[in-house]
Amino acid sequence: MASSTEHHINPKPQGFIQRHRTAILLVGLLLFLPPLAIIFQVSSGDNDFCGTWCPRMFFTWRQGMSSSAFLFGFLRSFIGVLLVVGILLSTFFLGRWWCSHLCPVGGATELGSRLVPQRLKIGYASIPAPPVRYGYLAAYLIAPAIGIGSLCCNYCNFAAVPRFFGAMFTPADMAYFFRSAGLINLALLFLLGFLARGGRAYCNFLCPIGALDSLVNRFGSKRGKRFRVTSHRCTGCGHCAPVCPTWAISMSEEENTKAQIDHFSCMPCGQCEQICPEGAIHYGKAS
Amino acid sequence: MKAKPVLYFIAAAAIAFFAASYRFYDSAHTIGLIKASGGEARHPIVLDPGLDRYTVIATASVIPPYRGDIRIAVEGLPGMDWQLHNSVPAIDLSPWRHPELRDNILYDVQPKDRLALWLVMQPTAGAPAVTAAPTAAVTAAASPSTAAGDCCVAASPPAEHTGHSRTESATKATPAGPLLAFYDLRSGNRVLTIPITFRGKGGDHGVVH
Repeated sequence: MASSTEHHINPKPQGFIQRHRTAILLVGLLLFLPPLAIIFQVSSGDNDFCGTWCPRMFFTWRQGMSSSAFLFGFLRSFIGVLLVVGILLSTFFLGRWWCSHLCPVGGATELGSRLVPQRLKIGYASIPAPPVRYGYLAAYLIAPAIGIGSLCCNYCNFAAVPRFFGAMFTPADMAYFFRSAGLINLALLFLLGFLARGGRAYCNFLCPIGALDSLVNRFGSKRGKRFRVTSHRCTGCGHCAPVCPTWAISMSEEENTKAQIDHFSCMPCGQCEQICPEGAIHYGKAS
Repeated sequence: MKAKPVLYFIAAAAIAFFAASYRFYDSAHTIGLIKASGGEARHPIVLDPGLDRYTVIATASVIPPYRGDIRIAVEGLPGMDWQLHNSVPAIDLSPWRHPELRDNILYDVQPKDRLALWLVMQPTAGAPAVTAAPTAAVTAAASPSTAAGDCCVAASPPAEHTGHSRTESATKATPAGPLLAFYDLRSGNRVLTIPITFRGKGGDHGVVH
């Protein structure tokens, strides 16, 4: 397998959105994260995802909760509910564009990881992401329902990342990290985010939205648009697998080795498409 | 079915269930309702005694028709320094109004406001350590003398600690235990009372959130 440091360029030019993905992620950071957090400030007066924008808390069912209390969670986080519905619908038809291009939290860790020297980064590709992700999701949904506790809020990168940026500006955001759970969140942010190869290990393992989104991505893969490998073009060179931030690409173990994309983990970042020297990876519907 | 993914699933679920069930008692999230007639805490604050720092996030909704300025105080913990921080945008570009926190007073609180405050408490150097106390209900019923001898749990005049009049604090029936109290600045009435409980060994596991 070729080294990831070698440079290969797809002979076919990428589209505008793929070529400007870094700029789009940076705009997302400015819009969603402190010190500006313009989207939250203008829409609801909130500072971050905690509040009406929360895309996670409304689907945790706590033991003893009445139906009305559960529905109240939907109302309280109504923008978060709409956000998740929009994400899942767009994912079904178009793929995980929210995760790859828009999510400011995953975007922050990915962009941050690009600033870290390769030799300091931790590779998680040997760990199969889907079983870890769905083990986490199972506990996320079941633990509060049976009354043993909750992962929601305590371990949340949608809370930790905005406060990581905000801590430089406000003591309230700094206070978030002055406690054991805050320090664990900070450690996870570094170990699975900034220091992870590709910067997306947190997204791949511990994001409940990412877990739901990847399920929809997999089940909609036959009907919707996704990144796909054109088998007859793929030479099995293996350049694509190391650049995948979600380690979604594996090489088949058949005689004619070909790249395979796992739609349980793939997001349309386009890095594989960009590096493939044969132009064998493209975005589109199943033929 | 391959064994490796199954093992990873089981291991991830087991670790996540453990993480969900384990709570660190150096911090707490309390949720309250602010009412003119005296608000209520839906989640009290439950902490471990003897630690060198505590962090509490207190979120509260303002129930109409209450409006006014609110003074906030930690009471019954004389050996504890505390700071209060309002969760507001770092650079305020919001077209929405936010209550402003100055000198532990929230100004211009209006109906349906949602407040998010961070409380950081640290024992004062040389002060007696906070020790375990009975549950909130028990502390509330106890007389000051029952707990004051041991430490700071149920004790002393808030006036010393908060710089405000004790008579103002006593306008409503006051639970004897430590509290995070919200007072209407004009009337002196308590509009929200949040008990602070220090749990004992093997005791109360508090409210998970």
